[in-house]
Amino acid sequence: MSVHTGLRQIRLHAKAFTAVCLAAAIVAIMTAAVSGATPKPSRGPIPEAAFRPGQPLDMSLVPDFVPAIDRDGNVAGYVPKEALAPPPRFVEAGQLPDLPTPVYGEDLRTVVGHMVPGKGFVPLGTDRDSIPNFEMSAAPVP
Amino acid sequence: MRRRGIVALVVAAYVLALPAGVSATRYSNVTWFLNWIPSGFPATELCGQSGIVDTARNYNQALSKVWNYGACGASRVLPATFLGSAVYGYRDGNYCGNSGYYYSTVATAGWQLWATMCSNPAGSQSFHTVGTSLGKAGSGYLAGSVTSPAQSY
Repeated sequence: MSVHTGLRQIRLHAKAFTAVCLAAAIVAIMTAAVSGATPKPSRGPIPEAAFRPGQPLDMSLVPDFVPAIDRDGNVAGYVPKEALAPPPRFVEAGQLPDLPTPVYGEDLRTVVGHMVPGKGFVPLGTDRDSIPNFEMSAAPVP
Repeated sequence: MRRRGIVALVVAAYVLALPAGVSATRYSNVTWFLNWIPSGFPATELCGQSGIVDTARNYNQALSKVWNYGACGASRVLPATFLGSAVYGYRDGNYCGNSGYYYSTVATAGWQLWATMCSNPAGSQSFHTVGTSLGKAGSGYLAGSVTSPAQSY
């Protein structure tokens, strides 16, 4: 065997090894994707046990996404649980979580509207001013 | 005569059953959250209470109390903007929306908020309020949160 033939064989082996490694990596990635290596987020209504009278909402029992219902009571989409968490113990004025919250569709990725404080669900593309405010009133304790 | 009696019994049964099924209000206990020193005032307790009020209205009140070792006792009147309330509404565990924050507009020891956020169709639904109470502290607000008992309509 000449030196050239030997080198050629080494190169061929190296190429084959690289190809096998690439194939293995692709298979590993596809397997991970199919088996759901990233856990699927949970969704659904908040269980009764999370509502503890006299205490804050038990966030550990709240699903990752909670159905948001519109004024007719239909499920309009899903809000992430973070949007329902109580505010921190101290918040700077003007930084209270008083902003619209995105509402996601069935795929939990596509924004289909927002939950607007004082109004509820506003579909994407709808002027929020066209949605009436909730019936609300505030008063001092007599 | 017998027929009239039957009709009267049916009407009476309906009237007696109506308030139990339609009219009801439930509140959490008044809950202590924290104590703080509002600007210009001595140590004060922040307390709150949430509820479901007839019919399917979400309710919260933020209360300022004289410092009492972490108990909600005598009221302390604080100036306007020193207290705030917000409510989150739920029906059968689904989220209906929130009120946003409402701040006291007069000097008071308690600031109440009512908001009707969940629809109440025929049949029986279970409603909850998660209320947030705020007490002004320097450049921001201290907050406490409390959940109401379930109320069905």
